[in-house]
Amino acid sequence: MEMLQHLGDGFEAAFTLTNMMFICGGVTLGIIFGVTPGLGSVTALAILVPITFYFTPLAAIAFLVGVNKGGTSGGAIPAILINTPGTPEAAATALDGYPLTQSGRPLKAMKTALFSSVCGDTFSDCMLILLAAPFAAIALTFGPPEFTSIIIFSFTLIAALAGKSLTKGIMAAAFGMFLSTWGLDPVDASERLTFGMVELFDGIPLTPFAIGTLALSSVLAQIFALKRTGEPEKITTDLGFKTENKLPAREFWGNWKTVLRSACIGTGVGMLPGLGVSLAAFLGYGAAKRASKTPEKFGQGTIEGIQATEASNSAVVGSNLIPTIALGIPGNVAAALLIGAFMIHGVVPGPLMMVEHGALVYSIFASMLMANVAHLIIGRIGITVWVKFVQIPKKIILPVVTVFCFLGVYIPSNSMFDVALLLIFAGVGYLMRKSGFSIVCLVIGFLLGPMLEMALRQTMLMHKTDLTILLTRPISLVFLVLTVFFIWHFGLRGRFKNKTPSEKS
Amino acid sequence: MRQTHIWSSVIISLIMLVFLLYLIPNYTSPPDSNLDLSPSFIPSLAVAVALLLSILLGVTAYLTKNNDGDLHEEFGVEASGIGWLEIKNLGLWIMLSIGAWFGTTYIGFEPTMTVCLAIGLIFCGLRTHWLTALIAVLTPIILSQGAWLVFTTELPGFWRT
Repeated sequence: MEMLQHLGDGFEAAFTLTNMMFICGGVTLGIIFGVTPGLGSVTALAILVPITFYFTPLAAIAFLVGVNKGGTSGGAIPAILINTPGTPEAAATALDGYPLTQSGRPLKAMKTALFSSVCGDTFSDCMLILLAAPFAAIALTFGPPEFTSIIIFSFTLIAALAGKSLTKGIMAAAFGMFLSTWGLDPVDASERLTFGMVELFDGIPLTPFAIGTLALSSVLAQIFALKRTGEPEKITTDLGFKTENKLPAREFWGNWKTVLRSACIGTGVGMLPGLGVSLAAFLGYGAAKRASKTPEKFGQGTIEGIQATEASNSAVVGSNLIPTIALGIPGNVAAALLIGAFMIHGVVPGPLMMVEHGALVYSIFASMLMANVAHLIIGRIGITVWVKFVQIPKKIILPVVTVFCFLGVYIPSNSMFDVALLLIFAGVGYLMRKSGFSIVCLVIGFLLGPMLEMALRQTMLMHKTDLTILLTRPISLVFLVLTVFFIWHFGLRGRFKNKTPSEKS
Repeated sequence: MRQTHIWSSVIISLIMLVFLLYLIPNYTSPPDSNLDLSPSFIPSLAVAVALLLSILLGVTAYLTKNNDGDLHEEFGVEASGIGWLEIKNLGLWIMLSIGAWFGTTYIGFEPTMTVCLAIGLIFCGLRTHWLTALIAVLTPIILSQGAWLVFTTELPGFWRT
């Protein structure tokens, strides 16, 4: 009951014209980035986070949440129309979306994707609203030893699940953590790896780091790939407003079990750090196929396949904020960027967030629900417009985006030092991409590094350097045991299992 | 990818050794209290973990005949390994970055970005000259005006005070 009252207050604060404009603007920009070849929601968030520096905290987060929602679902449009997913998570959507386009029903496929996406998103937001406060209340009972173990566990989980190689994942996370230690020491404010540069006293800023490694390095890799292979010819799609493109409510809701199942899968995946949106989409698709009475139709253009993938990948968007708000640990890289946005506005995600900024948190929840309505309306009205963005050639988009990245860093900081960092991290990110080191692990290591350091140092100070406390506190012990299990499962066991017969012999 | 892993291991190990043995000891302060960790502890720990794992990566890659199964899921085919082409691409990026940075700092945003954009568009394969010129000239001007009007941020330029 109290929760409903808080949510009501949240709606009261969030339901303003300005906030609605930010939400609608965010959703529209998100869809455009999702639809445009070579971009996506992560690039959109990385570029747009610094710009929100000028907004109020509520408007900023509402805007970014809108971008994330729009970007996640926007990727489905090129997947459906030209069999080229705008975002990795939309890859599964192409399996049934493109065959529907080939059979002359692209609009029906796009409508199904949009409605399923909004359903999954709304379900996940409701779960977030229901679970964030209880989880945060549990987390409030944790002390520094528990947080130390949870963060170590999160590192392992993210490193193990973000890619195939645990070794490379942990290396990337360790490097990210190392970079986060540059600047003044958080306890005694002594200089640490600043090399006498005043600009580094506050540490390496998140904005050039995130834009460089996530957005600009991706653009760079695509530019070089484009130079080598040239741009593939785009198939022009005739949308054709035939009756076949209509999506009757009966047909959509006939598969309500699929939508609900996928939303549950996406929500579950989103709650665990490191699992990623793409995994949710494929898990949702697989589960729907197994449960279907006509599994042979999957892959040949059934709307159930689109419903399954879109409901599950969009359901990740809300639920990945549960660990973010309850523990301060990002569920995925989009949540990591949202943590950056929270921090820009002086809000530190974690269990105390609900206590110190409860009104803001519920206003954000309300904004998320409002963003779903905006997403539905804007997404539906703009369907024919989004199609135009799919047709923009990459050779024009990519160089222009590099200038946007440049501006995204310069505008909030007014510093050419930050621009230099952006250019350096873009190069580092390019090398990491090419050699298969996880950038997600790098960024999350960078964000969790200061938290781990603080928790570990507090533990040391409180328990007189006796680190056995980590093994004597039950919750801490559980997470450490889980960490060891994951290292064994994904590192050692996986290596033995992956050996080819010739290697074994 | 096996070659990439071996070379990555060697290069990362060397860089981490420089950090661990020279930069961290010389550029961090000693601890204030006996009970607290040294400010260099966490950076050293992170670097040591990266160093140990890079050695492990190199040794594993050296002992494993075919390491292609280790291609990273996050990037799929994009993670094609590092060869001369990637090094050449990185070299191009470094040159363009240096030019863009000095150009923006000492000349200004609009002229530098016009040149960079034109280079980028031609490099990407845009061969319609009027379109290249239009995008290269108009984009920086529009963005510069937008930055001023929306965020009151003046972008670098020698003609601005």
